[in-house]
Amino acid sequence: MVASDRPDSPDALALHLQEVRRGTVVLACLAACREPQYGYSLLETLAQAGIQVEANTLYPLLRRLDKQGLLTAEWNTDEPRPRKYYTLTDSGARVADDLRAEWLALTASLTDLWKDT
Amino acid sequence: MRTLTERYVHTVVRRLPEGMRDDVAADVTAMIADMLEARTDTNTDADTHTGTDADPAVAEAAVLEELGSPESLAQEYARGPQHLIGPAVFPAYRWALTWVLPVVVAVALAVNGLVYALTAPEVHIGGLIGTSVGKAVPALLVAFATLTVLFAVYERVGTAPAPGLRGHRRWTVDQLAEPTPSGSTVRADGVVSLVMLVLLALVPVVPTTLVYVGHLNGGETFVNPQLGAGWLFGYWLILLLMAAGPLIHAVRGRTTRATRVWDIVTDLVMASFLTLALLSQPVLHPDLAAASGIDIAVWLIPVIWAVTLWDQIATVRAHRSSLRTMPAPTTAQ
Repeated sequence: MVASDRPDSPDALALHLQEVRRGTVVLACLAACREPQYGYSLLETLAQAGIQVEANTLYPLLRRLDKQGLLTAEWNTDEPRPRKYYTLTDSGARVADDLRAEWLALTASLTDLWKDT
Repeated sequence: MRTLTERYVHTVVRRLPEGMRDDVAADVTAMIADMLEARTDTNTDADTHTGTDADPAVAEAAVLEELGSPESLAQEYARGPQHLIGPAVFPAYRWALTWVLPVVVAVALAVNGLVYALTAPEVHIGGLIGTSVGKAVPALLVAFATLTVLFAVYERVGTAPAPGLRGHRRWTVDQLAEPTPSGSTVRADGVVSLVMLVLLALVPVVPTTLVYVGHLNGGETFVNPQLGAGWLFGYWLILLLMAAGPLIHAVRGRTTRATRVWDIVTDLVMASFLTLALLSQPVLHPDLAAASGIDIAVWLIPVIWAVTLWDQIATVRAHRSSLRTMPAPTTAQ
């Protein structure tokens, strides 16, 4: 067994952390895009909120959320450099509400579970 | 010369479908520009930089390295399947390979061997083996490639559920099968065996025109028309007995020790019967025998026993596998 195969190795832990965080990025993006955001401003907003996400993950994700109709994208050419602004759509807002409710329920369940044990 | 950013963007988008290239190129370019600006601002504001990032080229390289390989970024944008045949269809693919490839090899060896024996001006064992094997290999590769392409296409356009999902129908315990050596494949194996037996039953009535040697005997059958009816009925009767095992497997979806033993015994009876038939009389059509430079029995008997032996090994292995996967029987108290 190599070191990275051990269940408590840093690599294994990083993998589990990544799994836990993966689902939260979409919810975080939807929440943050209630106000129009371009990619990098969103990256900074999320970082300030304590949600670490790489640019090479975020930009493609924003594009997918746009294609799914959860966000709407619009190029703003008024600034010195054109920037694509993303805004939450109505259906995106409904999905965000559902995801948030699920998140809160999960948090409550985990809190209970932790208390019991 | 193109800038590093242009080369990076080009490397990303050339891996993407035509329709999304312009959009993604603009997206990635804007992303790089924003990251570059942020990096420059940070260094200026904090006034802590050592001067390295003040150089635009160094900053640009650092940003691109932070983004990672363009191939990975393109994968993030494409998000299509990164595999040829995914977990949803892989069991069916593997099952199809284990059935189709041996059949293709056996048929290719038999047909090419027969055509060589009947058409070569001078037949040698070496030539027979060389020709049969030489033509069986491309047939095997074509079959493998065809199956792989078909499954890969199905993977992309078919209705296979995504990994982790179980289709649209709700699963109930009624669908829980009896423990079998390889899950639901026992039933399918039984059906394939029955189809093979039907094809074997048709061999005595197959005309020579089927494999382009019809001119040799006016399109009559491969088998000698003068062959006694008893031999033909014996052949069909043994095939019928051989069908019993696969029929039970197909209907009940599981194998038993008795059906496996039955398979082995009937296989051996058939191989012995064919050997006897080939050694005791001209089984091949006389016109074909006259055209052939080699006695059919010389190569067909080894092929028959090789196929039979292979079948026995497969049967025993499947039975052993079923013994391993079956739960231990509970003993009566």
